[in-house]
Parts: sequence; structure tokens; C-alpha cells
Amino acid sequence: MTTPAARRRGIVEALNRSFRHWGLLPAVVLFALLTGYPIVNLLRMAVSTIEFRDGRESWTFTPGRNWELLLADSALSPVVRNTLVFVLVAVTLEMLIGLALALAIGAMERGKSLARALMILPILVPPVAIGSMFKLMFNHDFGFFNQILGWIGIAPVSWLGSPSLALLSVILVDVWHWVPFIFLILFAAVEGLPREVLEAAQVDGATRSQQLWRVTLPLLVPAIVVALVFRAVLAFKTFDEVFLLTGGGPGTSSELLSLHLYKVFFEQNQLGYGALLSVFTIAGVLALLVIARWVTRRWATR
Amino acid sequence: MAAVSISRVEKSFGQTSVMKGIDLEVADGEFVVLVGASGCGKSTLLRMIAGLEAISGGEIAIGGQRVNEMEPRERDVAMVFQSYALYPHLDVRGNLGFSLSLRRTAPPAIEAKCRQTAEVLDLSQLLDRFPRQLSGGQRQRVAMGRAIVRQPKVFLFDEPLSNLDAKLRIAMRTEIRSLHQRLGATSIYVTHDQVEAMTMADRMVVMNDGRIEQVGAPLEVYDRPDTLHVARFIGAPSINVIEGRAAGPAGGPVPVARLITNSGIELELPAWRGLRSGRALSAACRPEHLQLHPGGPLRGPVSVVERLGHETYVYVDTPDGRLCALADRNIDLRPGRPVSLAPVQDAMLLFDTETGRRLEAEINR
Repeated sequence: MTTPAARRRGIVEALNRSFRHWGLLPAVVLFALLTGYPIVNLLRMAVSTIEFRDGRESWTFTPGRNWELLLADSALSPVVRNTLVFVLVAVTLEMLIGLALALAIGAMERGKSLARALMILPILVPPVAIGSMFKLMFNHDFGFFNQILGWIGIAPVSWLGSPSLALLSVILVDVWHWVPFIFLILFAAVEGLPREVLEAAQVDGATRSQQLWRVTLPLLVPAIVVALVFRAVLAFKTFDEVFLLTGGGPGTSSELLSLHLYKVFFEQNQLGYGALLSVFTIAGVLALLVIARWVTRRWATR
Repeated sequence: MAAVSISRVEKSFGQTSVMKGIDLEVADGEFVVLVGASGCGKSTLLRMIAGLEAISGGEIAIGGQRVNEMEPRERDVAMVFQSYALYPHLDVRGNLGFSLSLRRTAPPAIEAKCRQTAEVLDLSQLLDRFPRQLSGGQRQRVAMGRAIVRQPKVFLFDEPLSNLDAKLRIAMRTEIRSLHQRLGATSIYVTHDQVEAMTMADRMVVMNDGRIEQVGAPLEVYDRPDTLHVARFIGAPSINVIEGRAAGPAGGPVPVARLITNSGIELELPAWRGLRSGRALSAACRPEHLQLHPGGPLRGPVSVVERLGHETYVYVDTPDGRLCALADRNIDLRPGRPVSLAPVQDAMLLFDTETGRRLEAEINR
């Protein structure tokens, strides 16, 4: 027979043993509530039709219907194309300019910290301010860009209003906004390059361009991959700039995935279809991450 | 291969002058070691020869050609860095062949040279490894190999052994020296380790505070240091220095033959002519020239006994400071026991305490 006191002692011991598992409980609960539940809910939405009737929402399980909407959505293919073009062009430009600036400022003998401080200013500007600012600068009649074109004798251009230029203009703003981000990551990497290794290359006979291509850039690859992946993931989800500058127009010529999602959700009230699209976007970004990880790992074990 | 000629070279960073007129001739095929405490300018001088540091004044010539304005890559020198500075993204083969491939050497020729160099340095098994997969000693070899493979005019070494453990350091010391005997390449080697300097150099250059204090063969510098600073820097354990004043008939032609130490002990000196009585002097003698002698003038208790195996050092606390004497390896002494020490008179070096210079230069014996 065990006395109540002994039994209590046994329980305390068991609790002590499993304490580290119980300690994780708050984190698990938080994770389930904040991350798990929304994702599960999104997946559930993606296979449902959700309607609002009599001030209440009603869910019906219709897995096929959202797929039909997806296939019937005529805006989808230009939106996907726009998004791919946007990500590819904007991120490429940002990487090239950011890297060039990081290398140039890294090579400066004085004024480095001032240059760095100036460089990161665009990140500090709120996106809404950027939108308004550039909207004014892109203005057809009195905007900054058309004034410059005027000075060199070129007729004003409808930056945001012409289907062929709208996406390009958005890309331009995105580059202005995000080059500092790339710069910041790569500048830290440039500053961290082992000085003696570069000196060894100089003594070994490397010209400036050989130093760059055969030592500096290979050493920067890990940082470049990190910057690229971060930026590409963020670019996939760009919303504010398009929303503020063109609203996706004219037509769908500058509509990106996030803005399209917004329209599906909040203008067309197609919650189920919107959820399905979201799932696809998440899958696309995940695929990007997996590829990036694979590339870095291959590089590291080379 | 080539001679290196350094004349009146100066270096300043802004207002601070760190190199104050260096003159040095390194002969073709010579192994010269620059040695000095950290901050004495030895590494800066080496980097100026390599072209990694601008020259503020004077001239450096390699093989008779002025190189002041040349880029490092035009100078045809090879350098081994303290951190090894291997290319982390290239394997050993890539590191060895890097300089050759920059010069667009044909791949088969590069491969042949790499193999040959790897053979010399015992790296043949490691050609496919990356620097991070190598031990410190192996990295050091690769750094050496990277220099050798090019057959440059001059080898520059910037404390290449400082990051190795003591045992490996001694092994590599011998290896670099024998490599030099085989290749016969002009080499300039920077170290703060005076033992390294003594053992490796054809000639050693002792630097202090941006100046050359003394240039000479290792034993020459060891036996006849020009200044108290050099005397103290070279040799381990350090030379014993006893401060005091010359004593003798005032100002007369009679040779001064005594030193009254600061604590009042009388030491006999070799005969010095014309030495003014009362002049502040520092007498210095190496541990091997200080003997345990029952009647010796320097007395005190033993503080530490160091047994190195082949020899034993005895440290004695005398009123004139702690002195170190070389003793018989089997000597039976315990800390605390009072002993007497006597310097070997003829081996005693005399320095002017104020200028720090050795007296022989100004006085005839």
C-alpha cells in the first residue's frame, strides 16, 4: 500500500522528469494558435465556397468549384507573367546595383559610415510616402521624370498610364526602394572579407578585375545568396507599390499576384478562390526557398 | 632571384612617423630576418617591399629596379602571411596554382608544377582538400607552397609560424631553413621571436621604434650587441644587466677597473682607458657568463631553478635585481638557499646607461 504522501512524491517526481516537455507547452500553444490555425483555416477555405447571407457567413464544401474559378480566371496568366517579370527584373537590378555600391563604398578610404547612412535612407521612408512621392514624380504634366525628358527634348511619357511602361515604372520604384536592403547585407559581407586573402591575391599577381572575379565574388557568394533569397521572397509578395502607383492598371498590365489576391478577396468577395490562390503563392515561395537552400548547400560542400 | 636594396625609406601615417630612414641591403640569395618587438615597424617594412603599403620617402629596389610606384603584382615577390591567407573557396591544388593560372599558364603545366611543389612540401595527399579541412601545420605548408610554385625574385615571410604550436614551429623552422638552402632564393623573414631569428637568419636585423638598431650575423649580434636594447632583446633567458657607476681615480689616465653597483657592490671590470669616474654604466653578461662561485661578489638567495634537460638555469635575487646563471644540469639547489655569483670578466659588456650604447665603439681598450 502506498501512502498518500508517497503517492504525491511520486507525482512530483514524474512532473520534474517531464518538466522540460511541459516547459515547451506555451510555445506550442502559441504556435498552434498563431501559425497552425491560420494555415489550416486557409487550407479549409481553399476547398470551400464562402458566402455572406443575412449577416452571417456560410461555408459549403465545394473542392472543385475554386479550381474551376482558377482555370476560368482570365486575369491570372497576365498576373503570373507580370509577377515573374517583376521579380526577375527588379531583383536582378537590385542585386547588381546593390553589389556594385557595396563594393564601391567598401573600397572608400574615408566617409564610409556617412555613405552607408545616406544609402539606407530609402528603407526608412514609409511605403505610402514612397507611393505618393513617386506618383508625383511620374506625373504626366509636371512630374520630375517628364521634366528631365523635356530638358533633353523628348516628348512627355505616360509613365503609369501606358500598358507598356506601367510595370517598368513600378520596377523602377521598387529598385529605388530596395537597393539599400541588398546594399546593407552585401556591404556587411564586403567589410568582413579577410583582408590578408585579398592582399595575397594582389601579391600573387591578380589584376583588379581578377581580384574581383576570382577572389572577392566567390567569397561573397553566401551573402549574395542570402540577399537574393530574402529579396526574391519579398518581391513575390509586393503589394504597396503597385497598389499606390497604378492599382494594377492600365487593365492588368501592372497587376501582381498580391494585388490580384486583394482584388479577389475584397473586391470580388471570392474568399474560397482567394484562399486557393494564396496557397499557390505560398507554395511558389516555398519552392524558391527550397531551391535556394539546395544551391547554397551544394556550394558549401563543393 | 634578386637583391633587395632599401635606402632611406620612411613611412608616416598622417603626422605620425613610424619608419625613420631605413637603410638595408639584402644580397641575392640571402636569408635576412627582421626581428623586433611588436610595433617596431618590421611588418610595415615587409609590406612596403611587397607593395601593400605605400612608401612615404626613400627608395626600394628589387633586382636593381626601383619598385616604389609598382603594383604588388608587378614586383614578382611572394609573401607568406601570418594568417596563411589561403583562398577559402579553392582546394589545395587551386591555391597552389592560383598565381600561375592568373598568368594564363597552360593547365597541364600548372598541374605539373602543383604536383612538384606538393611533393616538396609533402602535400601530395591533400591536393583535393579545402583549407578548412586542413590542420594549422598543413595550411602553413600550403601557404609556403603557394609562394614556392611561382619561383619569385624574393620571398617575404610575415611571422609565418606564429600561429603554430611550439613543437610544429620548431619543425617548420628547420624545414623553411632547409628549403632555403635548397632553393637559394632571396628571403626576408619577419618575426618577433628572437630564437626564430637566431636560428634561421644569415643576417638578422634588429629593429626598434621604426629604426634599425643593428644588423649582423646571429652570433655577432648575440656576442656584441650595439645597444642595451639589442642585448636585452636577443637571447633567452635575457641578458643580466647590473646598473652602477664607474669608480677609479678621478679623471686620470689610470684605467678604471671597478663598477660600483647601485646597491654598493664592487665589481671588477676589464681595464677601460679614459673612462671618467662616476659615469653611469650598465654592465651586462649572459647567463652562461655568470657562474656560481663561492667567493663571487653578487650574493643572494636562489629564487627559481629551471631545468631544461640539457642545462639548468638558476635565478638569484641579489640586491641589484634578479640575475640568471647557467649551471650544471645536475646542480642540487633549492629555492631560498643563499649563493654567490661571479661574472666572467672578459665577457662582460659595458653600456652607457644614458645613451644605451655599448662602450667599445667610443673607447679604445
